[in-house]
Amino acid sequence: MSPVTANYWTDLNQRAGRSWNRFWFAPSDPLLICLLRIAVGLLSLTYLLSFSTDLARLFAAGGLMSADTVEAIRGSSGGRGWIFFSFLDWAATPGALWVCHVVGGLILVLFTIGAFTRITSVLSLLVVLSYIHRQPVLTGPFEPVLSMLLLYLCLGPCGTYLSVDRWRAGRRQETGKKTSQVASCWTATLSLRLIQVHCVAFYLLMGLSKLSGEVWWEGTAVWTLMSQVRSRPVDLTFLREQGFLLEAWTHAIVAFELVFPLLIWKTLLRPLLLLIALVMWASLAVLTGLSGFCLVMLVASAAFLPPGVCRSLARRLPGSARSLAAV
Amino acid sequence: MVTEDQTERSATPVRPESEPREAISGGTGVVSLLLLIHLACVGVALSSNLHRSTLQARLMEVLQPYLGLVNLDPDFTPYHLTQGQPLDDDHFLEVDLVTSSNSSTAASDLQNDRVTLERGNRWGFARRRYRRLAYAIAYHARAENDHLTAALARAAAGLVLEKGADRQAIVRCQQHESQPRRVEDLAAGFPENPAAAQYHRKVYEADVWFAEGLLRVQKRVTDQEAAQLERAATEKNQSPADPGR
Repeated sequence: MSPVTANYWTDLNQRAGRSWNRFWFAPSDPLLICLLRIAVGLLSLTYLLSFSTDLARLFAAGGLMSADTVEAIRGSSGGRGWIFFSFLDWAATPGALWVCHVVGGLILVLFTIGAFTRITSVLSLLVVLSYIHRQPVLTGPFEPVLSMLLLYLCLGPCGTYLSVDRWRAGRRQETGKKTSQVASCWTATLSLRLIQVHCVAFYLLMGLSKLSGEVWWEGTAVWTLMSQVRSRPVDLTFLREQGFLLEAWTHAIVAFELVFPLLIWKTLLRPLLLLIALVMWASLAVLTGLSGFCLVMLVASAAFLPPGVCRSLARRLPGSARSLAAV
Repeated sequence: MVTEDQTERSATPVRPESEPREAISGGTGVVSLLLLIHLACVGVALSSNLHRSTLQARLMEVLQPYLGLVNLDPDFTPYHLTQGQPLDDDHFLEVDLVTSSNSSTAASDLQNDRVTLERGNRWGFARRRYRRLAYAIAYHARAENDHLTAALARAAAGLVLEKGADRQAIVRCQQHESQPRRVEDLAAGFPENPAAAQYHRKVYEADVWFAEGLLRVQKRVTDQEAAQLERAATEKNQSPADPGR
């Protein structure tokens, strides 16, 4: 191998390695993942509470997703039944179901307020996964995104700010007990980067899968969604005469989903792209009624919020002044 | 490719060097390896969501324990929202209760004993779940996965049938067809009111009853089979079956 070629590969290897380490492991302030913790916790809690009116109807013996039905749907799992664990399987009676449900809700509340976050983050993931695994055909696009967010928040110190843990740490400091300084750390970066990369992958998936359908190329997809009588939350069919508007709307959705993964890494463009994302997801919520999915995608997209916006948002939260004193 | 400049700006500000920093040490290599494996798993899962090659299917079999455990596999969830296909239309479930001795009661006589399995407001999760159930039955009915449709029909009927009562249920999955954008494209026989019953197309129907303490399911004629019968009948009558797209 010639020296030029050898130098090229050496240089490439070193630069790639440095870039990789900077991207994934450069220490950063965990404020953003703490904000995400609150948003994801509230979403998870809303998701859990949505089962309350139908808990026995869904999961009790003889219910829609009873253990027997789930087994029939999953078929022979070939010894892999442990993959789809659910603590709801331990609940043999409606009363026990409710106990599990309430305990799950309490865990999510603790996670949202940032109490014992290192433990409650993992438990929250297990709680949400238990509900997801127990209703194999009833899940939609919302659940994989929520699972992703909960999984990655387990990796970072998402209880550092705006949390009961922070308050307790402050009390320990006041009483003179030794406490650790709030410091930037690489796990915060790792957690945030994983959310960002996975979020971008979802956008790419959505954009590319739309391209396989004629309705998105022809500009008729938005009308197709609008004309679903039973699922649409708002009747927008008065726009049916506005052919150009509907087609432009359709094309704009696809274009944005394809452009977002590329341009979001430019910090200068982030505020603009996030604003457009807000408008797009709000419009999709009105079109489809998939409000949960649109909200969770907005929360995932918020992983790209600029630091100044994070601090500004955090200061608006009640009780944040003390928690953010060191920021 | 993330540049050095972008990385420094995109992460939230780093604290002064005088403050303690969490040591990374030699663990970076191990974490990097785990990261690469995880990202590869996620890449395979997301890239094989819509269509799956033989290679992707094989990889998914291998990766299923990890992806299934943490629910990272979307498993053909329609992230495209719609492709304008019949399966993308709204579907809903109806359960008709009839006395066992009168199972051939005409549909028009069953209105008072009809339960539509939908709950909650249109913005909420609950209603979405029942829509997904109807979608699942429609999907598996079209794919002729009879054991899955039977399991779901049994579960749906079990919500309304009481054990021991002299009744049986007819579980029906209906597609609510959507209108074309231009009203003039509407086929004859379809009214302008999009909520009219003419837009309902039966996709799956089954009788469900208790026998020896267990729920039994017997599938009735499917949409495809009915279309074949309709086609034979309409050769004489020339009546359309599609509102137009």
